[in-house]
Amino acid sequence: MILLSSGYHNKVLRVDLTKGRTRIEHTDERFYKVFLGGAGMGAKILLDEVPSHVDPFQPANKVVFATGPFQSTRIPGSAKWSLISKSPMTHTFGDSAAGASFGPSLRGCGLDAIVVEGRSPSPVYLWIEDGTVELRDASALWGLETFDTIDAMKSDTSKKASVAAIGPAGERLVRFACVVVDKHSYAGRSGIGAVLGSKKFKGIALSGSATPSFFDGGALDDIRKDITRTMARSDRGKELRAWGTPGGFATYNALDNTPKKNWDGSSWTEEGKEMETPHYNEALNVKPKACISCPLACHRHVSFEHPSYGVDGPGPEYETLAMLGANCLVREVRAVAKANDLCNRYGMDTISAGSAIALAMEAYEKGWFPPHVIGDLHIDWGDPAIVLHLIDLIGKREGIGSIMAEGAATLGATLGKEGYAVHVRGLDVPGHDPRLSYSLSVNYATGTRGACHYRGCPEETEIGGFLLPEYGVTKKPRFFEVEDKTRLAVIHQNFGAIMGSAVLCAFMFVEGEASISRYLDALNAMTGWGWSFEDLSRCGERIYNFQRLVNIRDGKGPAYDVLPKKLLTPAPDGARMGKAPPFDDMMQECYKLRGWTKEGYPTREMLASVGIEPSLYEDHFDLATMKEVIK
Amino acid sequence: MKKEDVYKKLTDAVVSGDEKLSTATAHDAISMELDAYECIQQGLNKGMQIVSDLYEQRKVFVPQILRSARAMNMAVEILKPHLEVDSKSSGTVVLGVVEGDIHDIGKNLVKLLCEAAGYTVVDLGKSVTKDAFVASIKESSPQVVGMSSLMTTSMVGMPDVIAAVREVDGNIKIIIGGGAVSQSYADTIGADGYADDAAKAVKLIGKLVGA
Repeated sequence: MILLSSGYHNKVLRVDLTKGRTRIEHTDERFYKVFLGGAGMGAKILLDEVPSHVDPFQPANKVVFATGPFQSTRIPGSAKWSLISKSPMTHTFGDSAAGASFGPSLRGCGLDAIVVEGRSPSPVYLWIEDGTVELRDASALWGLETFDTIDAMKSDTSKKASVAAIGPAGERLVRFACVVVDKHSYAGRSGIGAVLGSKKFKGIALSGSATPSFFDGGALDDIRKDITRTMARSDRGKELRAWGTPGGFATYNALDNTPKKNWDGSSWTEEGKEMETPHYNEALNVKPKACISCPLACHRHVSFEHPSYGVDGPGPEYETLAMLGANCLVREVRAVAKANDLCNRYGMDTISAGSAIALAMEAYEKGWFPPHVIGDLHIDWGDPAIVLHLIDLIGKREGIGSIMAEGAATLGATLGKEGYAVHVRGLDVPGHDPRLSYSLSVNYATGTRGACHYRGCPEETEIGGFLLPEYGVTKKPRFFEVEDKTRLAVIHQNFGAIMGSAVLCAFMFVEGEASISRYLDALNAMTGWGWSFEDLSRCGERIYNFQRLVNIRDGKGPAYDVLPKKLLTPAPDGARMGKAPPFDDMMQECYKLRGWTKEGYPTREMLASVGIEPSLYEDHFDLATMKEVIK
Repeated sequence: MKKEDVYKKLTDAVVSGDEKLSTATAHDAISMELDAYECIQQGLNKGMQIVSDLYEQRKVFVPQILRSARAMNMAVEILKPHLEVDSKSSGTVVLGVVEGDIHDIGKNLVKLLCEAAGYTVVDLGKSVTKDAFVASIKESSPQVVGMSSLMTTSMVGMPDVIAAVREVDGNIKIIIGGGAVSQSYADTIGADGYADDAAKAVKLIGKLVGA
């Protein structure tokens, strides 16, 4: 019997591309109380339905577009939604979240999630208007860059539609291809755009205004108003609106949190001046842009003319300044804005693109490229022209771009220099250095989607003083002290699992000073579950551990809980001179805090203690052998 | 709260120059997912029109206008990131108050509404010389130049600016506004248009650039 849950539609759309058929499947309260939605729901689908031997680009891989309970509420941060699949970067659980207005629109169509399966014989896209579902021919769109695709899909469907689409990078299976939403938000990481490309699936357009029934709609309304008003008053929130994430660059760079020269550099403060705000705002002519119902408006719209770098579109985030700027020693902010724009239009993740380009620059400097591979290219540090050229080559998969499109990890392995690619489980490390925020070392190494600064953002506590009083994090710790840093990472990962599954934007808490308790009140008003903070916290721990099970099942378990050597090598000078986290000790502490074996495996009892009963996995996964159950 | 109530609250906030109310209501509007452009047009702009009328009738004075403009500005700042701005600019507009005149409230309103409508605005400020207008149009190649003047002593400088602009680029449309000028003055000096409030000015610009 189906137990309908308030706050959800209890419906998932299954799209079988091979047969060109769609059907509705019912979910229920028992499922949502365990997995919540978003990345929790996606992990369960991957464990049950995508066996370990399936290559990410095979038709048997699946892509889940998932909302959580919050997407129908208009509460700040609820514009987000999650994209989950077996990642072409990591070959195991991968997820990414984007915003704009796609999450609420998906809910508006009377659905909690869409699962895309199989492979279409020819390009298609999906159009859903309220309850009507239609797979449409996308042959004419195939090959179009992302922004043109979104425009075309809108004009084919409805001006009001919210659109998520891939670009040429996804079509050409660039392993770090992203999904672009409404021309200002991106499901950037994990390369799921390429999985959609392998399925000949160009994107989804949505329009609808359905809302699920709420347990206590009146209370929910009051809580929403309260949250919005509190956030609108937040000083950190106002700063975020004024400067966006690039506002962090000056501090991050001065502290050598920002990577330089493929993670070998330090002390680059003078060189990084151009990237800092307010110069960023002046040089790029910035306008803030917001996701739906968000009072913070952190996205940037930039417009400026320049003989080689003119841009009119979304501006680079901090991560892009770090990865395509500093890490490649590129100083010109306009050039980085152009590189960002190119990546956006091809539809690829700027973090992984920056990582691959920085590695190529190091390889060129050190003469690792065989001459016939490199031809007459000069891949010099700090040259904006070569950065733009390489992005083009990657997006078109031409020449050296074809190897780089496989990602930095594969580029390193191809050159016989595996250790120089800075990644965990195949996913490139973003622009925050664990040699400054020690908690990040554990956070990266045990990240279920690979190295991530967001599914766990302990650097925000170490650097920015972001506190989580409900979790007992009540003061900013000191840099380079080891005590409590592992615990901080574990707490953040559990919190991150809630963010990815609820689905919420962590900036509401990090920058908007929102309280977790108040959001929990909202969850209870929606669902009537009556959860305590302990229930919520346990749910985060549960989802994180469940994702870990998928990692282990896919052969990406504890053996991959490692950091590249570069991130454990102290710098000779700068703000973190001589410092590196005691990684092995911290990992042992992490396994202990997690309640795993000292080899890093969860136990049956530990899993049961967070609500993962054997029935949730034993049909597909054998805990005794840590292997898949082959039927 | 219905959307009409939100518009009304925005209007009232601007009329009374209450920036606390205008910003709080703007946040409410976002949280209700109301259309940001409609909030500006139906709410804030309407309030500003009322204030302008009251000003003309000498029922309110400059300090009140300034307070109202500030209340409007702050709410617009909150709403702006939610505007469906076409990523392509609809065109470039150069604005300035003519030399000898420092009354820029109206010009600032035109600027706000132009930006909201997707134009790139080059704001030259107040008491702008003919040379400054010319230098600016050479640099930014606008489709439209807007001049304003509140005083009869400064409006006499307008024909000179028009001639200088036409000399640089005959295709640029020139519009005028402000308390001292009128449609008939615009016709006399050969301007391409006149508007008596900011909202009409934006409509006029749209018509002139064919948007």
